[in-house]
Amino acid sequence: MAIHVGSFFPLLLSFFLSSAGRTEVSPRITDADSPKVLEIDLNVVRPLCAEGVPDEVPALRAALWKLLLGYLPCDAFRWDSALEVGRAAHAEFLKDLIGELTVTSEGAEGSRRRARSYSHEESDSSDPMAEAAASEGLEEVLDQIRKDTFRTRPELDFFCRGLAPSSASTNVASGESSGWWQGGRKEEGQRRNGVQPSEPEMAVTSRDPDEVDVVNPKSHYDCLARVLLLYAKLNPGVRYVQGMNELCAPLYFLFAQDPLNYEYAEADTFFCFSHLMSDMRDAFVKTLDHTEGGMMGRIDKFSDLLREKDAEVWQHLESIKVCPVYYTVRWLTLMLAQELDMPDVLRLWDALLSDRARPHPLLRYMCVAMVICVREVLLAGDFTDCMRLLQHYPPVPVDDILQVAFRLRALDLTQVGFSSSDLEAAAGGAEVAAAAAVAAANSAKSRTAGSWWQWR
Amino acid sequence: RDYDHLFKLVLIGDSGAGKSCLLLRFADDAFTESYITTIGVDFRFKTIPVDKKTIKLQIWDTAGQERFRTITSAYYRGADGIILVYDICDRESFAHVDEWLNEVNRYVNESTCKILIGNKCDMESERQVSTEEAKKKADDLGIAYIECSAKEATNVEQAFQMMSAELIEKRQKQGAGGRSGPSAGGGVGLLQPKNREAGKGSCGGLGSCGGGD
Repeated sequence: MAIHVGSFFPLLLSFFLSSAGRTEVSPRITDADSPKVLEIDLNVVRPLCAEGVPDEVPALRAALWKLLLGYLPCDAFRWDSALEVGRAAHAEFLKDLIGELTVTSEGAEGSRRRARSYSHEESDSSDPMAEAAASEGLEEVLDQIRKDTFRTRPELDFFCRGLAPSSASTNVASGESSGWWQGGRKEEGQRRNGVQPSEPEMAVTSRDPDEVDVVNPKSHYDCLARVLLLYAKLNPGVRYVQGMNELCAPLYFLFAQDPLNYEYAEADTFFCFSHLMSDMRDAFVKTLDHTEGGMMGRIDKFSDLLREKDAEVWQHLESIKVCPVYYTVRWLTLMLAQELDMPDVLRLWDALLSDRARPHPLLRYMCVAMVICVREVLLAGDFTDCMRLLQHYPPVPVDDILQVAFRLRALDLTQVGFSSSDLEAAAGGAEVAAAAAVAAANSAKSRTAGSWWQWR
Repeated sequence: RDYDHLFKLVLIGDSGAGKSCLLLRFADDAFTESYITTIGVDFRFKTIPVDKKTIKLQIWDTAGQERFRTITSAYYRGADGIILVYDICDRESFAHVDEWLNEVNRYVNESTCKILIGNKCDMESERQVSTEEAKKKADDLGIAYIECSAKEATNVEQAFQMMSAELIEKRQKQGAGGRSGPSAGGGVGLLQPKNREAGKGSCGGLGSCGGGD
């Protein structure tokens, strides 16, 4: 009985467009007499979304992210069917996954074992060796996922919260998860280590990896773990790498706040995460580290861009031996998720996901903007000062840095003249503007014609 | 300069062994069960007094998952000390000690000081690796061993003190042209933590450090 979003979305979108003062670009109905196609023009949606989606309308942000990630088609009239297909497929995936987990482990409780001493020949299956091997691989991945899941966004109470009891119990059969406000009942979890979450009355699980249960999920942590485990199972070339939990969490968090679709937060997160990973995957694969899309390739591109935009800071950091690999691994692989609070992550990702090019060149500009915004401090600092600052970035309004990133990028995209007063008008803080103005001046000097496409 | 010696220490070991928690306890005297996953590297400083000297420690906390080892190697460069952490309640993390040492030995030189830490010693009921076994392992490897609890602040300060004292001694020997001091071979006699036999298993054991005189 979920409310289907397809028919509802045009209303939301026109609200969004009109509130942004852009009524002239509302969705185009291609067949005016009997509208069968409601084509959403991504060229219109992208710049709007990049400016930030209002926090008050999580349903809108959720729909836009699904659209931008390619989970939803551009034709809004096809959304309902697309979602149905996706969710049905997810239910099937889950059935297989759980079947595999329960075949060789000692029942559902077996997955809670702390020790990783996997029991050898306990399978009843006709091909015990193969089954056991597959399941053992999965168990091993699950152990790692467990460790990371329960320490994902620990500042948020949200992930500890319980799912509605009814849906949790039907979960194995139906493969559906549900939203946290559906049922008012709170379960008392076993807090083995005596650590109390900040709002214990809202939480059902303690932060103990042993309690992550993907077979009978009770909390949002369990669902998050299951998304990651399913992804690992279906993507054996990538499996699970630490940090994916941080990329997955904002998607799940957002989709679970969507009053229209929260019941399907897990399924929708799975597909959107898979789409997101198609852009981010190479950064997580060790064997691709030194390719262009791999970790070191991304870091090199960042370093080149910083050098181009602010040669002085780049040179200073080089001279004091603050290598980019010391501070950008986290920034680039997690799309800055660990540097920012959740509301800021959502705001930043509005922009990053709106990026037309892949894999997210705006992220690189954003990282460069972060360095430039603290350039004066960096230039006055030694190794310790700079590392401390870059490793523990100060809380700065994300929009200010984003504006600097946009300007730096626009400069490369348009190849037109740029005055520092433009920048000051755009950037919130005078300090940020001043810092960025210097960078703009630097970049104007070093910029070479035709280089903009290199960053796409 | 507001310190007598600056040492770079690198924390390594399996994911979930408690590296970040040890560092958080040492640097901020705090503890949380749910410290965020370390991706790449985290970085902290702490200045401590050791034997009337002011020691500035620059501590690099690395990601534990195998995938990050190629990147982690960039952080080993110039390390004075390696702190290898395992979880006494997780036998597998102990089984990986050799692997970690092999990995780190590819990047650091002979004189780099190493120490093995068995973390979470507050969870005695879930222990999977006995103190004796770990101590024997450390002796075989010629490195010091200490059991800590980041949660209960047991031996955490001591572990860093022990490492620092060893490093000071080594540096002084180097400075004095290989002068043989009274504590040579006896390791850090002035700072014996519990669970450690006197005069045995210090960093000097197999010449990994402190054996240069």
